[in-house]
Amino acid sequence: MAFVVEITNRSGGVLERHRIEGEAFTVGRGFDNHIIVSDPYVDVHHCVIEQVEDAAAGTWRVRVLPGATPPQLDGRRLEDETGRVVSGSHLILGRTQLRIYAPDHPVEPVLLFDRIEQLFVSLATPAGVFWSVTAFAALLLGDLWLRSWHELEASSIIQELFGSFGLSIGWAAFWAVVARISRGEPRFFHHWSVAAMAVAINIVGEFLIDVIAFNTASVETRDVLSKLLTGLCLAFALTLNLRFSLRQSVVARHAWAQGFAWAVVGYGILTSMQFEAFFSGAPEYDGTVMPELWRVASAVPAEAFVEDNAALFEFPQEDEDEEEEDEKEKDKDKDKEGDE
Amino acid sequence: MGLQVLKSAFPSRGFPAYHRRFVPHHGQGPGYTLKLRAQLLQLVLIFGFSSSVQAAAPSEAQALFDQAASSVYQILIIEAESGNKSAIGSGFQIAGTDLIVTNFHVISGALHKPEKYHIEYLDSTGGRDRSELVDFDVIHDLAVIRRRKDAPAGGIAIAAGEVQKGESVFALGNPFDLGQTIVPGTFNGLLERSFYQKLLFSGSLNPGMSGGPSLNQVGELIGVNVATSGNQISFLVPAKYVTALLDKAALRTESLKAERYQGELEEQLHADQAYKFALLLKLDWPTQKLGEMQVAGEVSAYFKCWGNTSDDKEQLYRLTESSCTSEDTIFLSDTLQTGAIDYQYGWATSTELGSLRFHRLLTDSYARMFTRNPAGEDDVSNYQCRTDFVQATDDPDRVNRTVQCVRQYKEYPKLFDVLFLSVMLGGDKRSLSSHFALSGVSRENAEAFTRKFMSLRTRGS
Repeated sequence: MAFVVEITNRSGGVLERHRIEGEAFTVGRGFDNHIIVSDPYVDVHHCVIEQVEDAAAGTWRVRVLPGATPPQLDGRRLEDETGRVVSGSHLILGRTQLRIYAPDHPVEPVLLFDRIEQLFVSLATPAGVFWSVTAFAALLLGDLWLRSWHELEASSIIQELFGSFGLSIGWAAFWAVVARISRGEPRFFHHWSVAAMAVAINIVGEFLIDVIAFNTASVETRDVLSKLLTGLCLAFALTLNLRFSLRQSVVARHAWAQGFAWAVVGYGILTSMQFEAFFSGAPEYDGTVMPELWRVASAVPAEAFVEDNAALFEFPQEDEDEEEEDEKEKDKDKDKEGDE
Repeated sequence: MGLQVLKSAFPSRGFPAYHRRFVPHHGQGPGYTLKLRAQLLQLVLIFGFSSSVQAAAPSEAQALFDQAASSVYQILIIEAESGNKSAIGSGFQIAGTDLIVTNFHVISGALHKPEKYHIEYLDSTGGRDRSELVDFDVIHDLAVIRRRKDAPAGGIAIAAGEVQKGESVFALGNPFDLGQTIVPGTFNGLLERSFYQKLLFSGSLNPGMSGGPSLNQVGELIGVNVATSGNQISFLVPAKYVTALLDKAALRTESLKAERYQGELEEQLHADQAYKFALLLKLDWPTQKLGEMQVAGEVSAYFKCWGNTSDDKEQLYRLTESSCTSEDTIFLSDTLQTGAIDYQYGWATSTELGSLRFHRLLTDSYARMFTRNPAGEDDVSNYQCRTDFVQATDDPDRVNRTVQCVRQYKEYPKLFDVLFLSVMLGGDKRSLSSHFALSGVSRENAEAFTRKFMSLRTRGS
């Protein structure tokens, strides 16, 4: 016969887990208990959880020891007598939360995405740190080199590295502090690798967007894709950072991460819509030029280009309508004056 | 060459000045950004006459001034609410009439916003009265207004004969509201490389003298003061356009009403661009070699081409540029000048850059284009653009990524500003870019120009 006892925080997060062999176990502050809790609101010898004779396996009772404050069992205070405990019961002594399980209590299967956690654990080894930092630096410098058409200078390399590493380290530090407070372990490198991966996704995504914008030749496509990419990177980073720092349900985590990420994107769309309404003396077009090899879109003859551009000369005639309305209003005013 | 329109304006707005030369943009790499350099001429800088011209017969100038001063007026644009002048220029009375000739740009403010401004004239005896528009010629920057009552006898007659290069010419006007002045100078012929004929006057014209008469030695009108680019380089509208405008005005039975004004202006602009483009499109455009390509050279005498090659040793590429501009713009208002035609080509090559980096260079170079036309929200719509891959006319396998942008003039919906930018792909790190900017052009002419322009870029032999 055995018990499994969990000490949890108020949200149900497990702080300690013990397996106890035997027919009964005691809980209290004293060192002679089976489960020792350091909680000033718990008595030295507080209660005993023991097997009930002739009862089915996995059914026990709580017996409060003399003089102890009555604990709360599954939401009910045990005033005097004993309480019936089943596998999974929730017991509160003072400010300590316990859950009691039979060893055969069903355990949730491994989630598919939990393998992701393994990836980050392996990245946080010395070799993982070395390779991920090197890969990140290489990606940043490769991108800088591809984007420039002059010799790379030491100053711009340093600026690029300081900027991107500084930003990712800052981001990771924030989440490590959150994780340290909430879960007791900062896991700084987990958070840094999340940030670095988000930056990497952004860099690769920007390049893909260049290729797509070059082929579709449309400012709108670039706008939409850039915003999607921003949302994607942010959602990716926030989901994993939340996962490594706060204990919350999958639904809550995704709600927070996706909600925040797409709210940022939504704000961007709103502001750009506002700018669209403004007058701009400069034309807006997509000027991306890429090697001919990257062109998938077909080319048209010059004459077709001129004909297709006929629509460019059509402009909405809002002003005239407004003037007409104004005139109508004036007419109405005149009518009114006439009536008077 | 920067031209300064000779109108004195309310000081805080500065003088309308526009710079005409294409300035290659070197900040972010090579590019075809046409930068408008708004040069606000300082009073200190442009005020002051060179002593060298004062040698020209002072007694003659004195006699001419005595004879003509009574026919020269100051034209004031009065702002209704403050009752003060917001701009000043000069004008002169035509002999035997009650008509005063001035520059269109002097009174354009009052024409565009008749509810805010009105025109007044001030004669040499201090008499001042409101005036109204009779007729105008926006293309040559001329306007006729009427003196309302008791026109004095006299006035200035229009010279019949031709003026010879080197003849003395005397410009009259009221610079900076300082009082009537007479400026001696030399006639230096006709500007031949210009759609709109102007006379070159080597003498100092200054803001406020716009619309004043320039006279020959016997006091006859040979031109109307219109613009300067400093250092004794000044321009006059030839007197023959004044004659033409007066003939046209004589046919009018009544003054131009404000509501007819915009329609008349649109007609003039439309007729002018029709004339100009008919002339241009009819020509066989000469081509010249740029890199490995043949491109348009100086299409007609009205265009001036400038060239440059970047030869910085630290650069990983070479860029040769050819930039052609017509020197003619039409002044419509302080914010809207139109009529310019520019085209540019760039030949970029690199042996050091990889293909992706070379194309990044092209992307950064052609990410922006501008027109010289600094129009505001009241003048024009936003640009509408379309980009496509276009086959070269001489070789369908040579593809250009081509952008065309169009914006409409709000007051003149049949006129547009049209931009075109095209970058050649697949040249193995050798690429030709071609660009043009037309302003104040009809759709038909813009399309014809685009066709002709695209057909000219061919692989050099």
